[in-house]
Amino acid sequence: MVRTDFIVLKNWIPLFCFGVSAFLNGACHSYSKEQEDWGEIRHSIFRIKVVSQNPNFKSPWKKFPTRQSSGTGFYIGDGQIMTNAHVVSQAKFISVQRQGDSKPIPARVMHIAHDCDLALITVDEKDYFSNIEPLKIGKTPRLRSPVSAIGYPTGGEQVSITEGIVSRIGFRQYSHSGFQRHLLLQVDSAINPGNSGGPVIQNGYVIGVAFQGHTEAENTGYIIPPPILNRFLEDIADGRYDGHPIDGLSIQEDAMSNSQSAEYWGLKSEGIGILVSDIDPFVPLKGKLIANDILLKIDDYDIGMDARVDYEGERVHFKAIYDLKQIGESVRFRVLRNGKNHDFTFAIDKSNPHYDPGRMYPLMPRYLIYSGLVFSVLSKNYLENWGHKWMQSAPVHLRYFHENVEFEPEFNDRPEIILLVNRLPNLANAYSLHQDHQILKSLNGLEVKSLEDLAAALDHSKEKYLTFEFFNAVEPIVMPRKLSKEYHQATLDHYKIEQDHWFHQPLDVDGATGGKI
Amino acid sequence: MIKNTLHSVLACFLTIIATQLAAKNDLRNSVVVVSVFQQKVNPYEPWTHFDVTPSNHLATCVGKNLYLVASQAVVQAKSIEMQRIGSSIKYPMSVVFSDFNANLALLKASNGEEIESCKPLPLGVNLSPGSRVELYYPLNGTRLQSYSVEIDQVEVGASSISSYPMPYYLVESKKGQSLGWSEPVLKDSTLVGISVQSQQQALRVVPASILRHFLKDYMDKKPYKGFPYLGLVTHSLISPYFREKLRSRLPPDRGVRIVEVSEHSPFLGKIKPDDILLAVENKSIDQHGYFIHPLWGQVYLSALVSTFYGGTEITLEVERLGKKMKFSAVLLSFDPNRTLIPYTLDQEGKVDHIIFGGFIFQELSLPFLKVFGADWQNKAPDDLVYFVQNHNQPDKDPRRRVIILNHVLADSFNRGLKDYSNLILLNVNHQPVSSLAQVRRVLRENPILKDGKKYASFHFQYGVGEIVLGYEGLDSCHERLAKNYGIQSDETFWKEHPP
Repeated sequence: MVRTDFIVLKNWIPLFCFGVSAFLNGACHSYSKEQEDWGEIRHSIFRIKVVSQNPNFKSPWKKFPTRQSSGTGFYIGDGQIMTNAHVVSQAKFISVQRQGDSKPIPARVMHIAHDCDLALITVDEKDYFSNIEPLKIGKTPRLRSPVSAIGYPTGGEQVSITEGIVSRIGFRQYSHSGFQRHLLLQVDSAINPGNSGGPVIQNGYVIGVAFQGHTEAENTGYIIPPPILNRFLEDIADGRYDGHPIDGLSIQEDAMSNSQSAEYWGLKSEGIGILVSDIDPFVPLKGKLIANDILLKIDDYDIGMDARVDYEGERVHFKAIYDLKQIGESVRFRVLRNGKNHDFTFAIDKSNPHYDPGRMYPLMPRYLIYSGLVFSVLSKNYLENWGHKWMQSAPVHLRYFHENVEFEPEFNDRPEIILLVNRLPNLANAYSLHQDHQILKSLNGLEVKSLEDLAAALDHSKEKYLTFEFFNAVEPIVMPRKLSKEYHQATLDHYKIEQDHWFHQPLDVDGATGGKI
Repeated sequence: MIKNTLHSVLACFLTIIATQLAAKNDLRNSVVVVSVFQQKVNPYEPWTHFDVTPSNHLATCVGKNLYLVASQAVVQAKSIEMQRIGSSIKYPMSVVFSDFNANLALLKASNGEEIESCKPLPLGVNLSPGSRVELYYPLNGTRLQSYSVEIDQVEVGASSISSYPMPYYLVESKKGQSLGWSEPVLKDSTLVGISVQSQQQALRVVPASILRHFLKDYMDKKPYKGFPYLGLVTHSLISPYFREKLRSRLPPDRGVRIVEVSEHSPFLGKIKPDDILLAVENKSIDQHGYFIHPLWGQVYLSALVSTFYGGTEITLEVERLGKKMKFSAVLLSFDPNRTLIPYTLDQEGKVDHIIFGGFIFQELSLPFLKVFGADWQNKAPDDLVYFVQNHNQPDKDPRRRVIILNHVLADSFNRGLKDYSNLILLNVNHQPVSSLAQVRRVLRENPILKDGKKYASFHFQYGVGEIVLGYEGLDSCHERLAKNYGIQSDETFWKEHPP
């Protein structure tokens, strides 16, 4: 039996399911089932079964027990099956099967994009795709137009086709990462498990990938629209996924609708203009845009005082335009600065290393164990150890840094926030009782900005004592250096820990290793 | 012989009953019922108040027409009435003095009238855990009832009304009875405590030594000296490795580590972080910061500090890198609001605030955060809670505060800006501000001038940036706000030319 897993984030549920109920509005657009060649399309749809295993962010050398789940994928050509990242994240074994196939075939992940919840998987069996027609990606559907979702919801073994209406285009958070926002389409539909990753079809084209639902609204589902799909495919064309660019802009939405504010800043255009209040220190726009710049235009789109632009007939957040860019592309801004209009063109670079507030999917979290002290890094995954309501139950200082680290000058050059996440008791660390979840500042007075820094400081220390100092006046841990060294390996052996560190970055070693050699 | 024994037992029993009855009758002259009508200010809309909350307490006569209650019972009281038990005559009372640190207040008749039969109860002495006492409470307002209870333990902690750590007895509360309303606690007809707080199954009782400290200080003809503080932040020093590192030569159970010396500590410049505090006025301190009280056993050193008075010189002994040293200093009175973020409101509960164009500015305070509920640490905005927990050290300037934008009263004047709330204010008109007086002054004296018009710029923390309002139309805006939101207070709205 497939057991689906639900990650709850505020009003959003990233489900392994999406389905559509009754056809709600046939009056606005004429549409009939006969227009779709379901027979052909059906042969391009896969049921994806996954055995996954999540890492343990509190005891990072361990993993949780395996789980089984399923989703849907569809063939797009060149041996690639598109699905959601959350269908295959942390997958240790993947199999695909079409309706009518006699057996499932093992598959593996080719590319996975956790920021926009997309993935491409493939099968290594020779000639597997030779008789499969790829589905083509179409254009963004119009509002109120009917669409059909096809997939393998739980409760049956056959492909299921359900219908609905596109009700809204938006720029909202994707639940899989729990942080990044991208374009999405809202459809009026009920939700059925198992449909995640499946195509949503209109006139024979893929106009979206079903991916998440809404916990507090019935008959509401969300699909990833063609611009995001195309951006993903273009990104991986060079063999490497670079990810969506981060604008890092804090803005004052609607502030320019205040006539006296607008007058003060010299804004004369009616209805146009959004004030930039701050720019994150690690993003490429830092130093190019400055606080109190008023953005009038992005590329060819006028930016309204509500921060929206007219995009394909609808009003969407201007950040959606920047979000669709590739790393290396350029963006144009018309900016009102000090009372004068300027036209700028900026190259979009990758952001500098920084704390990522989104959920991560590494093979293992970054960690370092020294004489029973387990150091790892703050992440949303770590905060979720306090449950779905971690925003109220996790320690205040961790919640604060998770949300506000970019405003703490002391952390501007710290790409990660190092925590003491666990203690494996031994004689050397026996008196470390009050430092769980505390943020490490320095070792013997030397600032520690990364786990590599910490490892180097421990290796090079010659002092009699190791003093681990923490932020916020937390009591330091003092351990005799020689005794700590003596107990280090013995502690690892005692707790059956094979590796005392893992320094790979989450994006460098993804957890979806199933099928890879 | 059996008959004689039975007679003796019966006589003894009857004597006890009679004595208790007599005692209760006597107490009717010393213990009265006070009805308090509190109306607390609403920190979220500081020009308004919550509903009037009536409560009944006991008050104990401790001097000529002087009655003792808990401070928290009468804070922000709009009306206090006193009634002798069994009498229907009511006397209006008022608070003549209150010390939030002790959580004790004194009441007198408002019209100066001498209340007949006010018989002060003699003060008793401190008692040890295990001692049996009598706690008196009113039954139906017509008579006093008591129950015998043992003192479970002594704990040191802050109250709801002050962050000052005081010693309290903990006694078991009586089931089905609402207690913690200033009930007197007696032993051998002497006052040995006042109950001030109910927590789960237990009652907190202020012990006799605190009552004596408070009353003696008040009744002295000199200025009130109050309860003092050391201004030291300590951590337990349990790690032998840490002791070695600090080159301590002392046994592992001697001395607590000093982590921080506060800006307003009388020992600033004398004692240093990482000094090990060994003794306070020759009373030895252990590795957790406890000392041995002759009656209470192991108690946190705050209980010792609370025995001194502001203005007293005391001596501390510390060990610094293996050497013992002594330092003396004159203690200062503790002020719970001597921090960046005030712990409490004053007796009147006034919350200073400014409304400028619908923007409500006030000081960040603990009462404001408590608007988010009992679980405010998890419900209030994380940045404000974090600030309170980690940056609330007292500044050299005692008037320094954190100013926040509470929320915005929507009006056409602040169109586009009404959704901002709970923001820390950094600058006004490009000048840093750390008090409402500064905000008022800067708005008046330093408006930003541009193209012949005046503007007010407010710069907030955490990426919100600079928000600008004009001065033009401000008075009309305030008139509309007063009318639409029922704001009657004349002091609320910022005025360019204050009366």
